[in-house]
Amino acid sequence: MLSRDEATATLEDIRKTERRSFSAYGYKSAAPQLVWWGVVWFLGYGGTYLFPPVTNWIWLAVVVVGSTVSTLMGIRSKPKGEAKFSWRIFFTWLAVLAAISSVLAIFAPFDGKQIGSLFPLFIGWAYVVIGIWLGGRFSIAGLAIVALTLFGYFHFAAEAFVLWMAFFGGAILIGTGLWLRSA
Amino acid sequence: MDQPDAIIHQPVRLKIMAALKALPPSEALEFVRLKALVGATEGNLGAHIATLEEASYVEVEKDFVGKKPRTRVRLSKDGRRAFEDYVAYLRDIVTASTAAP
Repeated sequence: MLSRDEATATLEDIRKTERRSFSAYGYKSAAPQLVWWGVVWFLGYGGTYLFPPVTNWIWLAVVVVGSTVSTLMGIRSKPKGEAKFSWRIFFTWLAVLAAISSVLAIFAPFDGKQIGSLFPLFIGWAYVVIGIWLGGRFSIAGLAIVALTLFGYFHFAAEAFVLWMAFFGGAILIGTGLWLRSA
Repeated sequence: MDQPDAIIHQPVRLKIMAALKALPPSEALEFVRLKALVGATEGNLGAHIATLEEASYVEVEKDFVGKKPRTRVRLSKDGRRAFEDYVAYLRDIVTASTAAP
């Protein structure tokens, strides 16, 4: 028979190992998604820089294609016997989108640079929150997105800001994806 | 349960079981990732996985990704139940000692 202290220590070991495994699984699942969204981000901001009159259409197209491919990637990565579509993830991102839309509705009108900052700021903070629950690397990635966006917003004019977000925003998502894959 | 499950009770095997239990039911962990999580050497980990496989607590899949061999380990239904029983056993000890006058 184990003593109370031994049982408590063993339960703590189990909790720590489960936590590490759960985080590693989250990182592995999110890594390809982040790389893909880095590409989407690059195309969205890059398109905005090259074709400013059709910015809304560009973002509509990249978000629709981005979300569709992202969903298919998620479905393909699920093993047999497991639910193919995660409604929890879907509603999490829907809530983030609704939060951004609410802010846009209340504080409008925004200029292009403000809208271009608002989305990555919300997404960055969403990653910070996700990281608090799932693993610190998500939080670090989220803080990097927030810092990069704020730096670009306060230091660059509109055109340069869009280029900044295309290259460095895209790069940080892709880099984070590769970093998570190695976890 | 008067005595802990001897197969799970061994520290490395306990970590293997805990790492697998944290995944969704049909998900498997690659050997290299499991090695990093458990902190065991390759030979040691292989031996403990073999013991768990003999007890039908885990299922081992071997295949190739390109030309590289890959080993993946998944918790079986029996393994999940045994692990849950083991954790319940530990909790009972903690609870019983706390409740005792």
